[in-house]
Amino acid sequence: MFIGSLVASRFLGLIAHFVVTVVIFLSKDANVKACLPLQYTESEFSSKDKELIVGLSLTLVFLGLEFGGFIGGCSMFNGTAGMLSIAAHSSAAISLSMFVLEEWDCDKFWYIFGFCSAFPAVMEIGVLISVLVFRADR
Amino acid sequence: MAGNNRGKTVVELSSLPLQIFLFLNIWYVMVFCVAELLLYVYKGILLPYPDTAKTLTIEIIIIFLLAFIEGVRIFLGYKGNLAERTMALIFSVVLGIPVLFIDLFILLWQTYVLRIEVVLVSVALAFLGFEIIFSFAAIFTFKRHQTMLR
Repeated sequence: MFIGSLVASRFLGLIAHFVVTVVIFLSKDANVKACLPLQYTESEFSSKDKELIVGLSLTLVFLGLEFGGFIGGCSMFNGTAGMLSIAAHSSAAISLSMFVLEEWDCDKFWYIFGFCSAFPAVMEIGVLISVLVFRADR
Repeated sequence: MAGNNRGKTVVELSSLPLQIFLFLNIWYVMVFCVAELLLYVYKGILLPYPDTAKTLTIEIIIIFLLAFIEGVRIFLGYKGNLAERTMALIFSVVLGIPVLFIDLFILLWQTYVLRIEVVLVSVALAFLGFEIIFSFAAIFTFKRHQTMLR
């Protein structure tokens, strides 16, 4: 039953991260303005805006990858990957919630991205390779 | 008697993808309903409602109705899939229709729709869609296997 709880917790963490990421997509203007000086040109705004769009899109891609590995069963019952994923995505959901509610500087997004999206995605790719290529069905 | 069953093989027909989505949907519905109730507290405190006592109460009751119907639907889906019963799965799909309309109500017709509610309902509708598709696949599998037995 512990593994079942782990599966449910991981799923809810992923969903929370996805929901908050989409909400940021829908309301990112405030965050873009927060990392520009009071006087800014249109090109500066669109440059930062594009940067944030790329970050959010990569986040969604990595979430899709992790969902694929999870729902596909490759890492669903892997305890280590599960715990890491729960920690990373729960942290992401909480910090991104603060990101959108407190209108954080958009450059701070990349710290959250690095630790909470890219890192579990790399772990997931590692698990996928070990299961599909090296048959480590632990 | 042993003789009557000679030559027959037990074949498992239950749908694994359907079971995965039903299991995850139980947890999602719980969190969804709690989140919606908290959002109604938030909206009730901050936003003006036309005739607060009536409108807000109706919307909260609709969330409880969703929780109940969704619970019954998922139970029937579980039962139908694991016990390979076509009728239970059919009832599960039929109960998907009121669930669909309640989700659409939350998405389109309630007094105030927040962005986060749009995202939450979209995920719920995706779950419902996947489950209906896999339910139909399972129903056809069960039916085909029944035909082959005769």
